[in-house]
Amino acid sequence: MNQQVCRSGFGLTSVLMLLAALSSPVHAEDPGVWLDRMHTALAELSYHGEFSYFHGGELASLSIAHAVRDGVRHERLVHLNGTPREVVRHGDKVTCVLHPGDRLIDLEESVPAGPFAQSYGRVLDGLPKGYRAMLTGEDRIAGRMAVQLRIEPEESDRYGYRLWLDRETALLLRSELLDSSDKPLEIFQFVRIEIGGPIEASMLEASKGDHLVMHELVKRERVAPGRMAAERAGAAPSLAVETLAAAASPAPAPEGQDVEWEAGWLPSGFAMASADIRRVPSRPDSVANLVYSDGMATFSVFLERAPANLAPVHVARHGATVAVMRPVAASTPEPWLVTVVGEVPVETAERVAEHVRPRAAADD
Amino acid sequence: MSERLRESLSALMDDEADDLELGRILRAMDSGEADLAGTWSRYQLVSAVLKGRPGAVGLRPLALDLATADVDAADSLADDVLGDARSSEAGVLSESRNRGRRALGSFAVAASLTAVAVVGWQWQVGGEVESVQMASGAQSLAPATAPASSALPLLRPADQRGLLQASESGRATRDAGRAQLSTASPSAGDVDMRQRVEAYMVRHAEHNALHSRSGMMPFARMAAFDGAQ
Repeated sequence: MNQQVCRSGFGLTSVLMLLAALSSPVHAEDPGVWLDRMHTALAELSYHGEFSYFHGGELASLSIAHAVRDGVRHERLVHLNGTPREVVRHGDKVTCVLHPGDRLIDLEESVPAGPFAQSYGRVLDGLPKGYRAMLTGEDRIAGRMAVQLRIEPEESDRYGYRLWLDRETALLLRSELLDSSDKPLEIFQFVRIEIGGPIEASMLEASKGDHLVMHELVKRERVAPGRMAAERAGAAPSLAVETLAAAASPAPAPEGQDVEWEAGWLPSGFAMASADIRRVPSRPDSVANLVYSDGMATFSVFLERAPANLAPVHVARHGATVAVMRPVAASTPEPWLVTVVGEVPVETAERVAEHVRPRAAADD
Repeated sequence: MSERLRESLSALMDDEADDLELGRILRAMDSGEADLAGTWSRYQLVSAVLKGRPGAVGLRPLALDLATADVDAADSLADDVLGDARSSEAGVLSESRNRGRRALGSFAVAASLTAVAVVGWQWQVGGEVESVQMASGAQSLAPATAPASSALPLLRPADQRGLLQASESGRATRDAGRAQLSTASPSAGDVDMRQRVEAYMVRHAEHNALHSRSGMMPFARMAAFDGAQ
């Protein structure tokens, strides 16, 4: 009800704000400014609290503590329901603390693992292209006054957002990822938060115990594209930014030729955010991983040699995340499998998957 | 059975179940929820009685409704049978659901896809006798305008594992072939594929967690990842 009142009164407010903005050099009510402040606040403020995370019909509760010490970001997230699980970040080092029997452990091992590629070139400020943002009012979240932002995609090939930012600090207090009919696919919301208070060191430390399984997420050293290419056995042409060579085994089998991949179709505004080759010594196969982002949404493309008895298409969904797995449509000497995973509408993921193609065709 | 599940079933009866409700029902099916099928049958009987033609219509298997949910089948069986029931005073059938079918039009295909894939991790089976025809790219992006009910062969009621086989003729395939509403245990190959896709979802979440500036959301995705039970 209050919201209704807010909204009806908002027309006038926005006119006044517009007048204020026109007459003032600093556009404090510019949504892009709020987004910038949000990113800064998330990275630089100290805060701790609990939040709810609603996804795929399930509600999870998590606690978070975040602090910056000597310029290094420390963060700890604890899953409060169900399987005990935590994620701890110290600077660039991110560790998952898992209990034995956690399904995540099996999943970690079921695809070739390795360091994560550095992402590059997509440090965006303000509002990314392809979206419109507007301030839509005020609300109260976790006992704090919040400014409400709406971020709408210009095309229906990606999702929109509603964000609630703390009026005082611009910290993100609530966010919703919205499908094309404005239905939230994912809601994150603080139920309690303290901002700016002291954070005890113990709140940022991972749980310890011999039985716990520590799974560290490692960023690959930043390498020049040329060096990345040279890492491949019998390195050939240098790796263009938008392509990736699927790795060959050290002694490539005659049929195991390198294939370089590219997205034959991308939603406008999406660009490659990282590219990565993973190898596991015990497995002759490896997985190529391309990541694309438009600054808000991200999707990953995985490529691997297809196993026998290939099923036609798998589509799965979990909350806002959709996954499409299918054989590569483009003709290749041997069957390949492409998997597109991301927080994008399923048609977008499908279309990307359908159009992934080998780039090396010209070299043959 | 929970009140929520009942409500979701009721919404499905009305052809107005949203993704979350579909997900709830799918999960209930997966977990072998007691009396799900029985409740479903009773709801249908109630609606048939209200309509004044008990026995005139065969009971629809639950799985079929799940598969056709969200599809704008104007002449569908559901509308035919339940149209009046919606405006009746029947307490058991929720009538206040006027959310409409916003997910239709050009998004019908996606909506239906989503409906079968949501949360419950629905998978299609390949390499079996009843192999599924894959809709071409053009088809899968085309708006689904054809009535779905006519294109979908009925499931064998005794076998919920039956595939909703996509017919090759016409766009009515609407990717329904992807809807394999399975309550039986999938084959080893399926498990492997399924696990791979889930593993990739985790990888994706991890990558975001590692690189994103947007705070805890990617972490939450990873920490809260449950996938299939």
